[in-house]
Amino acid sequence: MNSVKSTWKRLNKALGRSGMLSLAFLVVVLLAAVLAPLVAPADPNQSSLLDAYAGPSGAHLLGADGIGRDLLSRLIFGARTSLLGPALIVGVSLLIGIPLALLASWYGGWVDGVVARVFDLVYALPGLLLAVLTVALFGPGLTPAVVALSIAYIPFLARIVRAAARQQRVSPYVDALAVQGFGMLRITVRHILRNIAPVVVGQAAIAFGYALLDLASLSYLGLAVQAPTPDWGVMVSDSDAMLKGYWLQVLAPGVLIVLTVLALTVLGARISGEKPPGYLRRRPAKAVAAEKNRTTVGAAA
Amino acid sequence: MNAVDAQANAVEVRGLNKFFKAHHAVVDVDFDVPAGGSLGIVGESGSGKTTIARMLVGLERPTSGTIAVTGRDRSRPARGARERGRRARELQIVFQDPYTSLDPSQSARAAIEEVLRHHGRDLSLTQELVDQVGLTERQASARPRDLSGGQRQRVAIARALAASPKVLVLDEAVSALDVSIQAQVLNLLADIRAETGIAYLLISHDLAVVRQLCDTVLVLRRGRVVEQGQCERVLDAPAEDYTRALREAVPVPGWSVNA
Amino acid sequence: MTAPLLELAGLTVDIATEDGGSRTLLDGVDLTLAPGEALGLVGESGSGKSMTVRAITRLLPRTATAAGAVRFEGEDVLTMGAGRLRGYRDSGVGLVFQDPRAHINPTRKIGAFLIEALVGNRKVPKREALARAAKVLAEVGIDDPQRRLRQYPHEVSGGMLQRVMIASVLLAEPRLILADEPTTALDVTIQREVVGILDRLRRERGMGMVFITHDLDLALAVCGRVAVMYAGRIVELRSADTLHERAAHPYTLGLLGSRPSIDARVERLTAIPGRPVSAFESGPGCAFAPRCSFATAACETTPPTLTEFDGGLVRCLRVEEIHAARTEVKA
Repeated sequence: MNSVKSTWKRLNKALGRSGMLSLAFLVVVLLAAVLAPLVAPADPNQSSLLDAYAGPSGAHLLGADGIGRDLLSRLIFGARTSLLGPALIVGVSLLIGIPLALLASWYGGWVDGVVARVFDLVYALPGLLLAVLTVALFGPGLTPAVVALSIAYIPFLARIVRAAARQQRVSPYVDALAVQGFGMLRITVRHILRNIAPVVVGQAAIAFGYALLDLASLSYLGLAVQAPTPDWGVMVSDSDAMLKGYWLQVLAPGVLIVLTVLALTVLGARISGEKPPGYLRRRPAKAVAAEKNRTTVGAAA
Repeated sequence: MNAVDAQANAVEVRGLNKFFKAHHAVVDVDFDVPAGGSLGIVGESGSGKTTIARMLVGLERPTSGTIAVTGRDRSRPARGARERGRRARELQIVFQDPYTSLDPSQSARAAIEEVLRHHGRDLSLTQELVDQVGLTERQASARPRDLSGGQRQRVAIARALAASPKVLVLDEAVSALDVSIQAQVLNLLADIRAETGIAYLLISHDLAVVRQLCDTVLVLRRGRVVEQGQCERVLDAPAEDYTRALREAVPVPGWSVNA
Repeated sequence: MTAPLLELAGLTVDIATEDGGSRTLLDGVDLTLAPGEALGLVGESGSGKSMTVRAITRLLPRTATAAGAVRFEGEDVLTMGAGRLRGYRDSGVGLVFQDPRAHINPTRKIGAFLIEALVGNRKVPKREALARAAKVLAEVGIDDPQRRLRQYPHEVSGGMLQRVMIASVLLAEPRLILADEPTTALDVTIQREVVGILDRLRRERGMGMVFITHDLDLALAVCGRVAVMYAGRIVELRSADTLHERAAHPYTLGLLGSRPSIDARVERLTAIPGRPVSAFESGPGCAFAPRCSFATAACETTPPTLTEFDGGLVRCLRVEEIHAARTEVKA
């Protein structure tokens, strides 16, 4: 199909090699999470003490943990909880943050001043500390952690949205639309938000990575996701395995966390239009040749 | 349209003032644009010409004075969507910078259709407008970033005309264009006025452009009217020193750099 | 005949694109400038006039390559060593930009900006440098130069800042001034003053000047000769006082007809159809052919050369015929 091909080409061009690689990795992780019951080789909570700390084998591709649960299956099911939390956090903060940011950028003046100061205030609160306090008040669990982090993440997303929207707001095309009699709601949603969508999506991807990391840290501390539930953060905290030298039990979920966060950060930066750092970019062959050429000319002179 | 409307002025401005704190941007400005007429407002930076344009379209609120377009007052902000829509169908604007005055994610066709739909007009007019401003099929479907400055300005003109306004404010609308493109757009604007009987209010620093497109001219300096009248009279026999200085500063054949 | 101050010979600039290809921006520009001469470069977007200035100063983008030669007092700028290049940029050539505000450090006083090169590069004592700066400010028509030296760029108007920029160029006492749209951002009355100052000082000091502008009439007023550029090439070159009567290239004629006149309204401006293109967008023949009402099939395929015609240089295959037809119509 031609259109599929051209979409692929455009995506490739927009995201670049690093972006495409990140996207591919995230798609795999997401598919694994969604299709967990289908792709996981075993029940993640089925323990068989005979298999405790079994090494990788045909029965357990990555081996089994201290009570004989299949590690690969736990990683696959763990993707579910590990991705669900950050998704909720980013979703809630966008839902609250975007309207506030758009209102502030549209009206400017004191409205903008108040909203901006509130963002600054929340931004100044460390998210993890807020989460720990919430957990201390309401008891450990995914819900209080998600609620606390959702609030903490609002300014992280909304400040960027506000800045991008303000840039659009002073653009003459917005004036032209206002002169055409269009109202604030239509202009901000149909035009401004649409034009800053890449920035929003990119920043959301980056926030997703950070939220995943924060939640994993809380789970590691035993404050968010609770023990029998498979979760990467909880799995990293399996100090028993570490002490006994079964490093794969801890390393595998850790690597997944790092790779997912990295992929989200890279993809987010590429979506918001940031160029990859120089060492990741291929320079056009012609320019390299040209430079060589110039040096020779210079040396000859 | 009845006979009374046809004779009424398209724009009537009386005692217009705009103060930004202590700064007097526009001071006691009066002018008329006859129905189907064309007035040029000429001035240098800080003359207040752009502030006048912004007050006319409702992007700035006058400190005092009245603005009436096709006989209807618009000195105060519009209340409600209906009034906003009505004002939009009276007067439209084309801005200077063709690179920022279009929504980057909208093709010409989409932008025109959005306006037509908003004003309850027939969507089949899109093609007419595209043809009227001289855009090709391909250009009409392209995003702004794939168009040249002149083509974008044609899109902006078509979008303004989609509201079928009686008056079009051209805020330095040809200043940013290459000379050869500027001529095309000036010819286009002259054609549109001849065809539709729309009135123009051209804000410009360029006396030659004003002369080409306007019947009357108003010279503005530091927010005040220096002189106004027919183009030939004001430009060929200026009554004021400032107008004369403006005129003589324009490089023409035989112009010497040392005044 | 005196040796030229500046000589461009077959200057060609290509720029590498992201997909590994390359685009031609300047295509074989030949120009000479005598000491003390003022030459105008006139053109629209893509004409290459600004790229020519960049090539003359060797301030080309990283991905660009220049071929041909830019000789300043006989020495090729494109192959100069770093030390020579620094000297050339410091005291050989001075650049006046369109937007002085973007080219003057806003956080430093005007005095500090003006004496930076003198104190830094030439080891002139600070006190003497400031005295020289004040003198030059007075020369460019700035009242109370001592006070201006202590002001910041944001405290003065755009016209004043452009004079400061000109003063900074003059302080280096260059033999060549490159003025890139120096008055485009200014009001017409200020434009006249600034252009007047530039012209007077150039004459007094015998400096050469290349004046880049989109305004043909302004170039004619300021310069002795004017080169009209289109799509990275010079299409017509002639003396300023005869250009209005003798313009022969269809593009020059088109430019003259496009510009509305302040003296009279014309029924219709003789607009050139289409839009200006860059060198890399043009076909194998004459770059102007697609917009030219005189173009024939030959124009589309055969590239014209810059040849002498009626006292100037014109790059057009049909220049004789067009000229004959036009004189016939006139008579």
